[in-house]
Amino acid sequence: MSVLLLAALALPGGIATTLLVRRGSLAFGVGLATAVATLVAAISINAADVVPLAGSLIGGSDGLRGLAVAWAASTLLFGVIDLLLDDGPTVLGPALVGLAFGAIGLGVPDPGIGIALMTAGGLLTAVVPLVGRIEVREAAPRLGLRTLRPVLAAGLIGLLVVTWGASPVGPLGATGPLDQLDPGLERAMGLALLGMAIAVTIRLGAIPLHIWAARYVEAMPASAVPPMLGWGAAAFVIVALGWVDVTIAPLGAPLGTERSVIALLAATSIVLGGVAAILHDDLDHILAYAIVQDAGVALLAFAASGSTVTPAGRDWIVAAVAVKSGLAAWALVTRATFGVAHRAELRGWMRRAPILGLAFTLVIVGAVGLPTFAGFEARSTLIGLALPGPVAVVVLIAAFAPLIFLGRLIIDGLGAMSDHVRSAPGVQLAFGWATTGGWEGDRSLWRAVPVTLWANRLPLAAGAAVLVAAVGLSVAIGGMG
Amino acid sequence: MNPLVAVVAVVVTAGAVLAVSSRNGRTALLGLVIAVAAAPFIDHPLPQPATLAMRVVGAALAAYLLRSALTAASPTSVDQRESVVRGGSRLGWPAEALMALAAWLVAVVLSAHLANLEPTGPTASAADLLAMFGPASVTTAAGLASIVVGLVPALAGQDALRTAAGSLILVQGALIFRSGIAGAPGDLEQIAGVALFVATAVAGAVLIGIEDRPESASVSKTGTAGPRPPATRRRGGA
Repeated sequence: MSVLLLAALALPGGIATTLLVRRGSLAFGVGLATAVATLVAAISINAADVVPLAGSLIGGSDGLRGLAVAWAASTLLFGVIDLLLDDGPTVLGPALVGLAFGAIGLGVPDPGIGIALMTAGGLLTAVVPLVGRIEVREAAPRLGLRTLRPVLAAGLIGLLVVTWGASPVGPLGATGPLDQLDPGLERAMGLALLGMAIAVTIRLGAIPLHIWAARYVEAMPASAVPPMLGWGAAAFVIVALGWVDVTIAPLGAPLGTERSVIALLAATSIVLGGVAAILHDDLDHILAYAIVQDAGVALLAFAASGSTVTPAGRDWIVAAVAVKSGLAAWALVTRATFGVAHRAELRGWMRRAPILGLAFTLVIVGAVGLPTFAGFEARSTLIGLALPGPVAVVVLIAAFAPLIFLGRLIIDGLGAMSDHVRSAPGVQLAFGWATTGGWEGDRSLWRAVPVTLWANRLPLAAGAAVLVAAVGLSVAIGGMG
Repeated sequence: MNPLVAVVAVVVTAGAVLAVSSRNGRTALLGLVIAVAAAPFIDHPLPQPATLAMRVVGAALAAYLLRSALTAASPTSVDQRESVVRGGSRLGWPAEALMALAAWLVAVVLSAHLANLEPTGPTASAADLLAMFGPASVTTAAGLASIVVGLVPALAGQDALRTAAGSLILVQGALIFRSGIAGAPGDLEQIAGVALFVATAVAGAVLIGIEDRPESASVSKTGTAGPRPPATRRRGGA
């Protein structure tokens, strides 16, 4: 019931927020109230709470509770950041709808239902935020078409693969001892695994199918990235891993060639994603290619076999998405604070905005990780199981590229301030009548509170970014629970 | 062979061909309405009345969303849609129909193999051939034909209407194909299918809307917090 309650709150609230988008304040009010209620509902998800729904079962789990809480908290905090930065409520509504679809999709055991709902949520979170975005007005139709296609393609490939799995000749219909697996069926299973891996590659934006994701990240505000390329994609991966777990894994087929192809794709994404993030100097591209690199590690979960692979894959994708949500929040507020997004122009940012520095420190700790962190251990497990020894070492080193492409931002931030940073307001708090100003004729509390909040919107947004980063770090430490 | 299911499957396929091949926006929409309205009745056995009604309402909502977006578009754009060649298939409806027919033949044979786990072989009699056109076979055939004709406009269409129509036909094809080869879906899966279908229609309607949005139609208050120059948001490098 708790999962249903979450969806019952988030779906109508998200739709209402989207429909009210022309009335910004009201939309924010409805959306943020919905996000708060959704967060409470997510916290209340109970592992033993299973209810029948339309001929199926929907229930919670500890993992779903952890994921839903992080997802709902991220949605709420990005809504607050968008409000404080006056960025409009165009992302909040679709994000809530995506959360509703994601919760139901992860709460039902049928992967076909999960993939259909994740695709529906992905389409809405990808395209609907384009409405009213001034900064992408001219490019919006093309961007929309470019984004809709991969999300749709990934979903349909996934659906067709799941359909095959459930058909009379799929592995679920196979009979006989496992050691007498029909060679034709094994080939079909290999193709199905490849198909699902391709669907995941497209949906996550892993190399070589990454261009659309990079374009989306560079064109849209950073608050639109976590719902679409983060949480929604993570839920898609978790459903796909669940399908592999019940369809492919029990038959124990080696599928060496297919797994090698997937491992090659994943290793390419990890290495080249890290190199691309290092080569680029602006925040949008760094965020985009950090996501591409994370996608490569997630893809390794489809290249390896064993009982620890699926839990490691789940832990990794959720940790990576939570941490990159923190990076997106930091990038969003940093750009709003200083008005620039290139490293050279951001020199000294950390000295000028220490709250943002705290957020970024949490992000880099989560992204690089430490032994015993769930994300760290999951990454090591996946690379170790999916790749042969020497290659695994190289890829593992490449997977620590965030040390370079994020670490140099700290070095930049501690250096001498650039002109942009020096002239920016920073994130200092403003108190008192004089500093907040603007209401000489009315000094009532009702007037003072909103004016004070507005005068401090940048530090408050930076504080929200710290919270997003803290959520990310906690998920990176604990995994899916 | 169930004649009613076969007729519905043919209607769905014909609607799909019309939707993706017509160069007139309203005719394409008519084809889409035919295809999506008939599709809920293709399952064998039919789903429960409540589920069937929900699928019909979902199909109607999807068609209505596209119709509304098309109507709300500026008059110039509607005129363009009704006359410009790029809105429809460059191959023309005969070629699209032949592709759908080929998909039908492949799907019927494929479906027979799925049912038997053995090729029927060249010695199959005329009666066996007729038996191949069972409810599952024609459902699979309608699904595969929809996928085949919807694939290009959905994934390579150059304008929003064609992409939206192709995407809906493609999604519907996948759902029908799933029903054909894996049996009738449960109620919750059908609800999920309707959600996917309506979400695709919403995305298509949004694309049609932003393609025709006048410069003054922006609705959000973006870019006013802090010194953020919009010009820095778009770059060409990947």
